[in-house]
Amino acid sequence: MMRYEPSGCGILGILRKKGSRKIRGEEVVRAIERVRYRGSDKGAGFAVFNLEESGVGSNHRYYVKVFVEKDPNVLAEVFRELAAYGVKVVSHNVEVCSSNICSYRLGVEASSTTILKKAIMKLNTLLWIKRVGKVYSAGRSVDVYKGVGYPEDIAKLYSIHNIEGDMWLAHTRQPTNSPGHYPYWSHPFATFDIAIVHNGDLSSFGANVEFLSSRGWGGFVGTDSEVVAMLFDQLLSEGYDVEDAVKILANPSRKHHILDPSTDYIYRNARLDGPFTAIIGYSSGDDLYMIVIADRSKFRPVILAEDQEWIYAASEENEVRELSPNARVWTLKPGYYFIASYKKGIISYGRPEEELESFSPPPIFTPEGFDIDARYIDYKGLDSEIARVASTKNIVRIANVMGHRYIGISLPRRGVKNVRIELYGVVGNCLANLNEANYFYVYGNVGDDCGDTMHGGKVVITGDARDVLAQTLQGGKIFVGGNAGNRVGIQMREYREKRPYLVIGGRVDDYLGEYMAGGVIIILNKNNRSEPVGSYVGSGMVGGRIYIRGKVYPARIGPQPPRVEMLRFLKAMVIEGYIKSRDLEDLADQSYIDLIDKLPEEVMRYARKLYEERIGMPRYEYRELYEEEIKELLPVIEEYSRDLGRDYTELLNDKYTVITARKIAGSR
Amino acid sequence: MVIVRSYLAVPRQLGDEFWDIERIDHIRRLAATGKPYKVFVTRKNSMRILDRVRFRFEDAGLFPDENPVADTSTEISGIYMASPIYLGDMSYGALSGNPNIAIAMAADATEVLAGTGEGGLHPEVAKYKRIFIQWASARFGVDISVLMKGLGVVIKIGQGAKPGIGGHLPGSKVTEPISLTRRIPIGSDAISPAPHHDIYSIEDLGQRIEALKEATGKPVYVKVAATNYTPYIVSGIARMGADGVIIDGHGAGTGATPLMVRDNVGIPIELAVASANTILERNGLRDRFVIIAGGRVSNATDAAKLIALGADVVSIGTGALIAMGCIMIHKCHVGNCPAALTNKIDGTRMLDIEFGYRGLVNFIRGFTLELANILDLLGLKSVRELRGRRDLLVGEDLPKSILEILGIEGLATDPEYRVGELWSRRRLSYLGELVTKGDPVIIGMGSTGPPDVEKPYRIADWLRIDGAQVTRPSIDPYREDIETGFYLAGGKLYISAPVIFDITDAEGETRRAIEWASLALGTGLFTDKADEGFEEISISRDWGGVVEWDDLPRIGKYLRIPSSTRILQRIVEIKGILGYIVDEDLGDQDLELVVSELDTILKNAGIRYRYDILAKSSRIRDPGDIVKLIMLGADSVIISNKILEIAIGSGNRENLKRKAFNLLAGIKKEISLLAGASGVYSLQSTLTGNRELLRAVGLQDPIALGIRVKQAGSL
Repeated sequence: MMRYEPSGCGILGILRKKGSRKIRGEEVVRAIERVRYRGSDKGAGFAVFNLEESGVGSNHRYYVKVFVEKDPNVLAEVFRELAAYGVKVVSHNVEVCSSNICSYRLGVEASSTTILKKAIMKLNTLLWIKRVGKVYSAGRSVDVYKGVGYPEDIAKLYSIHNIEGDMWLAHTRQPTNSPGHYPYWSHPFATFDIAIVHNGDLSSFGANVEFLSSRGWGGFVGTDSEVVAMLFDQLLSEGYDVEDAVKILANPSRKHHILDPSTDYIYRNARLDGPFTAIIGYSSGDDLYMIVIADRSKFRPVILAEDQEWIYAASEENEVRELSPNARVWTLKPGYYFIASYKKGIISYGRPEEELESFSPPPIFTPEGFDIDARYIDYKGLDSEIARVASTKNIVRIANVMGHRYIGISLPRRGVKNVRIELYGVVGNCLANLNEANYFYVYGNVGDDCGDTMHGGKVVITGDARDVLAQTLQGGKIFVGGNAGNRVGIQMREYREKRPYLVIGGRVDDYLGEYMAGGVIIILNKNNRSEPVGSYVGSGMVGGRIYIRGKVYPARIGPQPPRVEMLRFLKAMVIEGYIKSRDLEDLADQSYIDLIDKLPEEVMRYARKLYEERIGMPRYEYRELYEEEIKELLPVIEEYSRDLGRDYTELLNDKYTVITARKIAGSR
Repeated sequence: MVIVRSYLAVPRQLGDEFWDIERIDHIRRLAATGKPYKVFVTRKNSMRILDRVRFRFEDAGLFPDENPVADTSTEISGIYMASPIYLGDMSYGALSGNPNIAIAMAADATEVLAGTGEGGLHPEVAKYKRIFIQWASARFGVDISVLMKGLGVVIKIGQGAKPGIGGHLPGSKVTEPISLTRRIPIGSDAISPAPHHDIYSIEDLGQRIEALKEATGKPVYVKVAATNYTPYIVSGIARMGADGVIIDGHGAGTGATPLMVRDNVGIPIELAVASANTILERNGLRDRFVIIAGGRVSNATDAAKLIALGADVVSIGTGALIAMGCIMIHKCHVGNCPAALTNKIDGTRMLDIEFGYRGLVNFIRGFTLELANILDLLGLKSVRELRGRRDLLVGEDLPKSILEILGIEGLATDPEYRVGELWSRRRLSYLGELVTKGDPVIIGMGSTGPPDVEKPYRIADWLRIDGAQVTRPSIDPYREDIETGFYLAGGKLYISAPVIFDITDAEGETRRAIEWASLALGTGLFTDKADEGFEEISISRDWGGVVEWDDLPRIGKYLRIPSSTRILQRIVEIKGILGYIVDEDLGDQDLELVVSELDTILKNAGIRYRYDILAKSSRIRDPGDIVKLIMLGADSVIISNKILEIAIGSGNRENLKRKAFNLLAGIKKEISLLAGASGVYSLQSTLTGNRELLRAVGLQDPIALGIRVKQAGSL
């Protein structure tokens, strides 16, 4: 029986650019240790890729790394099974041994990679049935080091600090299950010259295993992460190039027509579903690739970055900043993928290139005259320091924030209120949750879940905010100078005189204002060059207002039925005589939000029954602001301008896409 | 204004009920007297697994002692409890205010605990001490001062009545007082997001646990629905530093749940608790961690068994409402509860707080005395000694695999699997509502679903679909882009949901209505001859459809075969066909078995991707059947046009097209609910053949093995 091993994690990938210096193990360890709190002592690992090695020596020479139980018979079985495929073991040495499992590194010769792959597939099936071992790394260019412990522990175990590489992956694991004490379940997972680190959980796991089994794969250790590497390997071996394999694997929404129907059909069990982010490292023999994919909603975090020398992908920004305080940082956009290669540089940026420049410049880490240096404080220890300083003054200035979490959340309990807290650097997740009476000024970027269930006070961010900003914001103000990520302002609400305001200077990604019930969101899109919002704006909205400067493509508002289904629906309405057949194509080409108001009463009732279950489509207008709106919003933008240090009030004279709830309460 | 201050008569129960007259009567006796009534209650004909587990040395004939000596008190996270009872998480809004007050009062008076549910804090409830405050996905009614008012915080991930689906307070119950606490417009449905949008993995949950601990300094519990991965999720929760878990089994109470989710998603509490306890112990995580088990805890005997299987405390919701006057009419979602428990707050009907309080206090006292009696009879001094004492239990008429999961001894048997009727009264009324409204059917508490209550007819009735919790969160079916569409025939035919109506034997108005509705919905038709205008969605025998079928092997066509495993090896040798239509009406074996077997044979041969498997039967009843067949390997399902007739029943046949439309719309939306609840965005890619997301609940082992589905709770 297969075991299922869900896990959460922190991940990291670094690829050097051609001509720049190699990446040292010590640096990788420092970076992944930044998000130690995302993992546990139950597992960590690294994969290092070096392209040059593949050219050295015999063409038929490979490395195979295998965990085996401390039992001479098992190792003998490994040799025997490899020999059965004509694979010759020319060298072998023990790398490390834990209580009862050893890692062996074998040098082998095989007549072809296909033969070697087959031999390993068979070997893994045999070993794993008995739970006595597993090949966990194979190829010419990749070396995996993994085990049980924190990243630092594994690094010491394998002495990787001084190893240099062209590309590294790193992982810290948070398992939800027992076999944490075995190295088999640690990441990275590797197949032939492919390694992956993964954060999230695949609901497609069972389907993927069915697909892989039918293609001859076996010996699954039972973690969803493993199948990502196997699927990618399988797709490449079926002739797809890197980008096409990624397109299948990432399972894009069919609305984008990325896969043709026949490919979609054939690979119907080979795609990933559920929340995931994965970084894939791959050596094609003549180039190295670092690939980042995420689920279509990008439910798991991922930061992308580059500087003069290296290219980065990480769960959190502090991993990147640890090595490169001035790197250019951006995020993966839902539905996109990131691909970079050693020789070609960045091939796909993980979002439209024109959006890249809207991301904020690197943060300021060290201001003049600070009260607290966060460098020496634990990731959740800042509140007690703030409370200490706030007992004597009402402005607290903090330098070198690096991913610190929960800032401000315990201040009410500590009796701290009406204090201005100035944060310099990269603020971690859950800033100002449940805030009511404090004022946070961030000179830099902020992680996920900022301002959750805030009822008052203020948060000002000069840089960017990431995902789930201002969830159920119910009072006070949140001002962002730069961009914000996914699910911004979801479930905002208002209550009598308490009306929250959320102002974003840049752009945002998908699901802006989802489930919104009150309050006001303003997207200024100061940098005009890209679209101000992603898709699904205002899905499930029942109240409140969203103002987006500039025209929003109507298909981006609310959920949209697929065109082919809409067309069939309209054809059926033609049959009934509700619609004239000559209007068919024209109607089908419109976004549902535009279409719905043009349909005859009877058709509209059918359409709403089908496409607007329990929640209506929002309503939108593209227009200049009304006088009473300007009267309400001007003081807010004036305050925003004061806080951000530049006058933006003129932007209120432009045209806005104004989105409100359509639903009349109680009606369907 | 009607003030309810006495019990109403319980109406005659027409179908199978879990909360039957006997169970209700037991609770009412306790509520009336505060004294023990009956221990070691046995239920001879029950299909519920917990009822097939008994204590080794029980003597049902005993009349309980009014002055038992055993100690029922326990302590969780530093909180003393006189009895291991948690009054479970019924929100202000789901209940109409006064019942919430009565519950909080009773918890204080009897020194147990009460969970507030998601609705925020009723100002009167805030006066009582022994409450846990809920932090749920919509954050309704919480701020820091509310969180500080309880003894602990409960992060609600899911509930047993609807795993993977968010809270749902129907708009009809969102009157002014509720609108004020929840801060949403009057009359709008209060639908909490299915997932927490800040919790998409175990480390995210850890982050929220830590955040709430930082914020409040109080114990933090996590409430999850019992699902396939409960043991793993629970060990994750323990490792993340939570103080305890509330596991809510399937069939648990609720103010409103989609019936299709209630009856097909989630697993029984007894399997979940046993399995969670096993894995926590194995990982050294059981000490200082608390398991609260809920879902159909109807008396002290149930409680004692769950504690012996590994729980510390039991959660009681429905039982508490019955003590306060619930008569089990399953209409909590409508808002006109005659017992004034779950009615909308509009000043027309109210529960007398004193009446509710007295009944509940008596019930808790009687229940506690019964528990003490059980302990005495088992020779135990304290309820703390009972925890994890599986050796005291024995199973009867259960499959071997289930005995293993429970960790108890007993004589293993493989139960008969077809014991119910095809079209139960409940199924007919469900279809009737679907065809009238065209929306997923919503229902209140008192689950009657198979296999535990309604007797199973199909193999599918024994199977449960995974409910996504924490590590694999649900996808919100109401707002997200769940893809229900399927490509068939190599991509030539696209249908918007894996549903194809068989119209070979449909004529006249019925045929036209189904054809039209299928086109409007974009689903498929299975026919002899495709009618004009419907070609693009038709699989026809003779001509006109976009693809064709036959009873003989023909190149490029579907081959229809009888539902029988005996012919499969021979059939799969045939080359060049489009795929297989497995017809249960022609064969002698269950569709589940044959479809799964065919899928497996084709996969073993490495050629599965070339073919479709369409599962066809006139005995496919609802989206639950459809989705399960997909998960066993079908690419789509062909259902009979007769369902429309069955759904209409004796009702009028006017607007037949609208009715057909409603039927299909309801089916399509319910399929989407089931997918979302199991954390699936793209049905075709992720659900087809994905047995990993299925579990069996006590299905006989040979069949479970045959369709490659594990028993619920197995590791």
